[in-house]
Amino acid sequence: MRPGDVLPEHVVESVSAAAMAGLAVVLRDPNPIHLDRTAVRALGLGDREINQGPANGSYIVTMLRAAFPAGRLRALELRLLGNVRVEDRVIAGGTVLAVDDDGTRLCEVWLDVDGGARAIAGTARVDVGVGVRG
Amino acid sequence: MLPAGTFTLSADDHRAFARHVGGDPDGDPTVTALWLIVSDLRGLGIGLGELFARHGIDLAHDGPMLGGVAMAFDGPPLALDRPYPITGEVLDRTRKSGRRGAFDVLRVRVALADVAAVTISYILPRRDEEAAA
Repeated sequence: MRPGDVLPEHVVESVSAAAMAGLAVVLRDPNPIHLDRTAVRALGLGDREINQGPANGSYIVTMLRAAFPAGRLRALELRLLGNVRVEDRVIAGGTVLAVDDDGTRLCEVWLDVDGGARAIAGTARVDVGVGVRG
Repeated sequence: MLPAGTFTLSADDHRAFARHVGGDPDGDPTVTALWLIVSDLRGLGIGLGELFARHGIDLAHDGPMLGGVAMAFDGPPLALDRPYPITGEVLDRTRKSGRRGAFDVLRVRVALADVAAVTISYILPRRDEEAAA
């Protein structure tokens, strides 16, 4: 891929409450904003459970892995700009910004809530010169 | 410095994480490891709840959030079910204000020996200061 190329999107059709509950166990994250919409309302954060940040970031990683199946992620910088909520449809995307001398791709990446705001913006460096997993 | 420790990513946790985020269970587990560390400082001698408490935040009631991450994967892929030394430090805490009032950005850096490192920005709401204003 060359600078300006658009990476294939990764779409999550509906963020699942069951997945959020399961992930809270794996992450050992007791924050009730992921599990209890009453707690979300009490904090003035809306009226639906809020997805975990690592899940949102992972949608971008999944998009990158599909775009560079033989590559390896070398750096990932993400700014979480807004919330993703249960039942949201989200789209992870990106573009190639530059190609280093060693072939490493610098990409702009993002996660958008369909019909809503950008939830994550950032950059990724992907080494496409090695055939390792990831 | 935060208390150092040992981090191990089990194959079960890697698969479960991938399943819940729709990821690839055969993908590089290093990224999974960093997400677990981001979530609760796993492996360090202090949990995220205790760290937040030191900064006046109740993890279960105050609604702290993840603000950003900067991950660097400079070493070989992490091996599953193998212990790695892990170290961490609080870099700084900065007061800011936004649409919902005052908050602090707490930056923490965690390193997995010879594998990867992550700088994490946590958003700590300061509703008490809003009420006092």
